[in-house]
Amino acid sequence: MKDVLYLAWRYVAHHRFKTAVLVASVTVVLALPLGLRVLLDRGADALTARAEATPLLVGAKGSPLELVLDALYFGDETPPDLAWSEVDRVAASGLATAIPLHTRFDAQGLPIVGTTVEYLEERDLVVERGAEFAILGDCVVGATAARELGVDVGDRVVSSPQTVFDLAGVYPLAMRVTGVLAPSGGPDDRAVLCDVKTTWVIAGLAHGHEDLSKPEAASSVLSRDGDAIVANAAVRVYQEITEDNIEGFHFHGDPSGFPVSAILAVPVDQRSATILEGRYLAEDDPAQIVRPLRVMERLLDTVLTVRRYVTAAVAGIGLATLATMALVFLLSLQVRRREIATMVRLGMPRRRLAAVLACEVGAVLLTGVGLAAVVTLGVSRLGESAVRWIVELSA
Amino acid sequence: MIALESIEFRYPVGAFRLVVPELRVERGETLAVVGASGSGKSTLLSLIAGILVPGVGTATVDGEEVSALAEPARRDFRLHRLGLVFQEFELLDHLDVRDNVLLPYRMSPRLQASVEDEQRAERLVEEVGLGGKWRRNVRRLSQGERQRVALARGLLLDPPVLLCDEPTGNLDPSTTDEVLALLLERVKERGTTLVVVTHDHGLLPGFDRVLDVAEFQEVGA
Repeated sequence: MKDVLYLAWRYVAHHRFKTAVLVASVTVVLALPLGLRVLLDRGADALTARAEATPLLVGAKGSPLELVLDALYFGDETPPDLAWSEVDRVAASGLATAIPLHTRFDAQGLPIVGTTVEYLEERDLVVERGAEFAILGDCVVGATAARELGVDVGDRVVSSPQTVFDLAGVYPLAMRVTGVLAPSGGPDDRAVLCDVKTTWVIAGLAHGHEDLSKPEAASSVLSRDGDAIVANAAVRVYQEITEDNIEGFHFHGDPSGFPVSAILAVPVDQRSATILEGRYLAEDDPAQIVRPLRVMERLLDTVLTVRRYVTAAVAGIGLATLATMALVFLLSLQVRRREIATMVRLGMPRRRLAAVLACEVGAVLLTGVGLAAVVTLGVSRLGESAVRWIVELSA
Repeated sequence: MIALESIEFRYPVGAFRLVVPELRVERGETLAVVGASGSGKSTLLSLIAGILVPGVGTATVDGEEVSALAEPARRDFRLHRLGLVFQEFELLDHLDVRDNVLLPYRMSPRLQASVEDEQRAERLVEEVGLGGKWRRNVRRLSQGERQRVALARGLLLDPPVLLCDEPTGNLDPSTTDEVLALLLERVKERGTTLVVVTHDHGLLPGFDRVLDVAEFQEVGA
């Protein structure tokens, strides 16, 4: 058998280019449908798992899919904002715990999620180093975010400016990292989590500046009328919240109208969930309530339909490729007719000759299958990133 | 050593017929088979080798009635007890000199080349004048060198009978002389029975006996 394998090996090694093309064909034919299946299965699992862990979601009227993708996966596109009063509405119902989410901002492409510490508990997020965010300007970072931003406890994360041309718009805010989360295998790994009020500071709804009532701020004051002070542009606005200046931060306007992107509603029980859903049925209600699992299942139905079409197409291409390969092998035998005749004339047993030829074909097929397995494994390992990309594309 | 008796052979298609009433080649004898193109020289060699089987008569080689053997047994006989050299060399282009010479070992389910066998094969390659080309791919060799590789392969298992079909047909005159001299020298050394088909009458003086197949056709006509 050793000699049979050796002769087969010598042939495929000598015809490297032909062998490489055949191996690549086998790899593609197998890896494409397998990889696609693994990718979609992993994606479906990931999407479903996150959705399953989120019983109810309240958001502004609009696309339920956009709302779910934003609230669960922190996608690039955000749904319309919801007023903070909706958070109070859910909380006041007594039917569910209301966890606000404000996902409008980012730090170097990583989502900043304004929420409450209940979010960490609800998502089973564990602070691996440091502590949870406690005051305005604190944040905890996911494991991946910490690595990508190169930050650890005590460092600063600066929010990205939304537009450099909007002078009245969002300014970067430096947040203090109080904790780094243990990897969770979900989108939270890439997030910067802070109190929702901190995101309002980023949004410009709250700000901090030097105390204009103090004498040293006199140069910034244009006029005083009782408690009302008019300042000029020289007033120093804080870009970071510290223990020294936190008292100088304050909100302008009615907090009940401040924005959130969505509300995670964690119902007391199933009955409460059903009752809460019923309270959002009115046509003129500015908010909607969705069960993320249902929304994701509808998306998955679409994905699975696409998968069926793609698999069918790939199977057709695969069959055509395999038929072509069979033809290539047969033509190869024709081309090698003289070589085969030589071995016959020299007295090589028919079975041994067939074994050599079979080993040559087998080597190509096995290598192709092996490579396809490696590619499929790679896809399953990198599936998370790919799925995120697909999800973001879908959103 | 080689005995053909009352042989009659014809191909399935065509009118060609070869009739050999009797042919004997003794052990260690060198025989040149000559004749015009299409006269049946190669057919005669194929009958001796068991590549073809006569319709009538018997072909016995080294005590084995080859014509009575089944096809697998005839292959086994060729592989293990005959040396074969062809006009077109019949080397495998994807193998180097070493692997082509050791091909009988690789093709045989019964033989396993030992280190000593490999060393012997390498010495044989050196003896036929290809020293230093042991691991060279045969496509990089000249025609004369390729025929030397084929000759080394034919002699490797030290067969009692060596059959050569136009072994110098593709060689230039000086290479022809070299290869023929080498061939005759090796078979004389080893006491091998040699049958060479050739149309080159200049080679004939080197052989013990010359056979013109025309006489068989005359008999059969």
